[in-house]
Amino acid sequence: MAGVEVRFEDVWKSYEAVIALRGVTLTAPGGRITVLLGQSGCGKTTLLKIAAGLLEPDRGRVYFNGVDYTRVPAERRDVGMVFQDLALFPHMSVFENVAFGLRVRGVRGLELERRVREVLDLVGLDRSFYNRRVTELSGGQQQRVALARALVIEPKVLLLDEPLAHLDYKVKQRLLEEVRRIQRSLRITTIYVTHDQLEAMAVGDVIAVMRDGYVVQVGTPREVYENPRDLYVASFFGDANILDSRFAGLNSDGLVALRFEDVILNPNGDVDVVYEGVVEDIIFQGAFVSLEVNVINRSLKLLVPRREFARQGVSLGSRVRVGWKLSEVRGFNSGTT
Amino acid sequence: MSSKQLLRVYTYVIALLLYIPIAFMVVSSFNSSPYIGVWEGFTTYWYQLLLRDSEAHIALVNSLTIAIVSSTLSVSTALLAALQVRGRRLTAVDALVYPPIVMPEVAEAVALFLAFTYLGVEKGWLTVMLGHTAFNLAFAYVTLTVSRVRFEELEDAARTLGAGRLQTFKDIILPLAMPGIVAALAITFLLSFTNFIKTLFTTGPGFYTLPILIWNRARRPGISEFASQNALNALATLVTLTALSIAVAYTAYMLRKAGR
Amino acid sequence: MVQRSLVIAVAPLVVALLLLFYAPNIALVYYSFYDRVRGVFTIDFYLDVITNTVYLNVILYSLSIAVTTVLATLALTLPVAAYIALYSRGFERILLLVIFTTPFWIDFLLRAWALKSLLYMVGVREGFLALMVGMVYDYIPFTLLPVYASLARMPPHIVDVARTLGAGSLDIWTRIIIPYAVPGVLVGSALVLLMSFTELVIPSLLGGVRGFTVGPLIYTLILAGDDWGRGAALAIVITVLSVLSIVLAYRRFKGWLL
Repeated sequence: MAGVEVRFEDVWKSYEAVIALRGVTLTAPGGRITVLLGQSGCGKTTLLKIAAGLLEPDRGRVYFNGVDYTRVPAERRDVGMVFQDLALFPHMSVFENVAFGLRVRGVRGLELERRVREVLDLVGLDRSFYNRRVTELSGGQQQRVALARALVIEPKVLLLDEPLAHLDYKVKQRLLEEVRRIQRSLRITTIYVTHDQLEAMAVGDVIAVMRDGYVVQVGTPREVYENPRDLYVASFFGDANILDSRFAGLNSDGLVALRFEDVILNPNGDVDVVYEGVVEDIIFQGAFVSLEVNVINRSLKLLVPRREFARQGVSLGSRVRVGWKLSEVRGFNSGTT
Repeated sequence: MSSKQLLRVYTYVIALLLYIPIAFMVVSSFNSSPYIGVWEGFTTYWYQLLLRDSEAHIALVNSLTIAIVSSTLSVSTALLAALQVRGRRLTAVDALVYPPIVMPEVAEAVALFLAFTYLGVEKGWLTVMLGHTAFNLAFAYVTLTVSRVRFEELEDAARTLGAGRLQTFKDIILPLAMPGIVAALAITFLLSFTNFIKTLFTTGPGFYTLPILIWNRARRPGISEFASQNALNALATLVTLTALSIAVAYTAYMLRKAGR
Repeated sequence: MVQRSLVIAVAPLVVALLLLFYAPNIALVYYSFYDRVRGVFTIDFYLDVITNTVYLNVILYSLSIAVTTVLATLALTLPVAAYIALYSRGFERILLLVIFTTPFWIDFLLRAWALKSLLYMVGVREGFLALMVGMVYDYIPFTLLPVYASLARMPPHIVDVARTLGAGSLDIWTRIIIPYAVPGVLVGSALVLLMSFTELVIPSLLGGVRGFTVGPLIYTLILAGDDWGRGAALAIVITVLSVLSIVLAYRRFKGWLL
């Protein structure tokens, strides 16, 4: 059953005085990972809970494969959800946490054990964990239990609410890969909520950038990165210099975005705009070096591959040239902020 | 001696002082001399006396029934509310719950006395029990909300896994609320079992609980052998031991919960 | 839907509190203004309570006993709280907490009675000394635990850090431990002040003729004297005083934080 398509149609939701969703229409394609990306308060968790059936929208509809699920309660939706604080049952062992959804469905005995074991294998927790209390586990291990608990019921849709928010960088990287691996092997439709653009790029097949209760842009990570719809998306999804249009070389007013890596250090030809400036800051980031160059009292950031940086021999206070192609400058229609 | 050792010795001295009067009371209750401070040998006479003390038996039954009914009533009522109240709405209920805890007990007791008198209710078992319940409700609610786990997400999690309301309550909420429920039951039972002031003001002629009996006898020691110093020590020892055993059982339960 | 289930769940608690606590307090207010003999409403009872020197003296006497109790319990328990919070570890800490919380479970009446026999044996008869010993003895746990709770919130190793910065023992006590104890000291003080001010059992059992404080006074007025008006007015006055002391302590406490 590869891929239940989830479709939100004109979904509105408000809490007392606050409007959390203002008419969201979005399709999460079957068998893919759709990331809801945005800052806290943008409505992404509300949308996820509406998908889960934990909240009912004030207006609008939710369809699973074209069937209206708007009024179906959470316990009859067959969705697996991983909560932001995981919400593991603290009074149960690892095994019992995972078994809960199966017991509720009347699965017993060997069948129960087999299915719990399979899913715990899938998330990489061996037998030695089965009887441990969930409160004794590390953050990454708890994460795996939460994922296993959501997957064991073979849900139609997997919903992940900032599942990796509290983890260390390395653990996060590993779990991101595993989420992808597991999702690919099960081909399960997944909606993944995060505020972290790197996480979004790493797992998303489709990214929906949200802001103030609206979905502002939907696309593959590459589409959104290369063609951000507005300045907000440009600076939130990836890093960009926000410049005034004339400085950037365009013959119009307004603001434009220029990705850090699209600014070229000491270009030789092949660019449309060139300025001179002074290097004000150098931050070594491993594979890349980030430079801050002062050009006519503007601070311009650029990202240079480590080898290229070494070859140029630039240091703090060096006078350098910076330039870019006009085709890399992202201009937007007026009214964007 | 370092300041740490000094503090340590001091701490244990204070701890000892706290228990000396109780220990003295227990020892005295086994003294065959009726005079305080004169040891004439070990006896269980005063306890045998208690077996014949029909007033004490009546008082015990009254204290127990009132404590059991009042604690059960107040904890179940408070639990019902505590499990549902969350977020912003908490403040409204809290505002109602705290005054009974803050108000001086004597004043609250006077209020109950006047209200029952105004209504013309005959004072006795029912008025005492209701008087205890007023206070226990507040304590039960506070105990239950203080130890409350964040249930909302767990409830949501159980629902997405397919559990209905009843099953979620049985498998998730109740087990997690249990330490709070036990705490609330223990606290309200003991508050009621040992309550004196409110009982004094809400009881009527001829109705008494253990604390009232002890009070009456303590104020007029020696009017009968039942009210002699050491007979009273024996009675007080039994009441204290009851309270202490509940306290110990409760503490052990909590430590085991915390230790797991 | 959710809203309705909330109302249904909360209703029994609210109704019970209204009937068993708030309605009786209306009766209290009613009788504090109602003269049963003359059948009229009056503020005479209040005027009497706050101007009649007999009542005023009892109130002031009770207040002075309460303040003394607060200061004495604080002085006695601050070092204990500091030891438990700063130095005790693991099993010892649990043991000490159990030792100091267990008296909570034994009623004042029983503890006062137990103390009375002991004091009698060592030759201390009913009177002011016995009264004060009884007060301090009964209220030690009530100051100890809040103070301990505040001290336990001290960041670990802060004393070591202070030492590496050159602080001596005196500095550590005055600049670190005591400031950290302040919230607990205030909570404990307010609690003990409120309870000991209106205490009935200890003055009656241990105070003898020096035990005529507001608690016994109210008892006498209401249960022995049938003077409901003055009794009710006095109950309201002490409630207001107690609540004021808590509010003031709270204000002060906030002031210290800012």
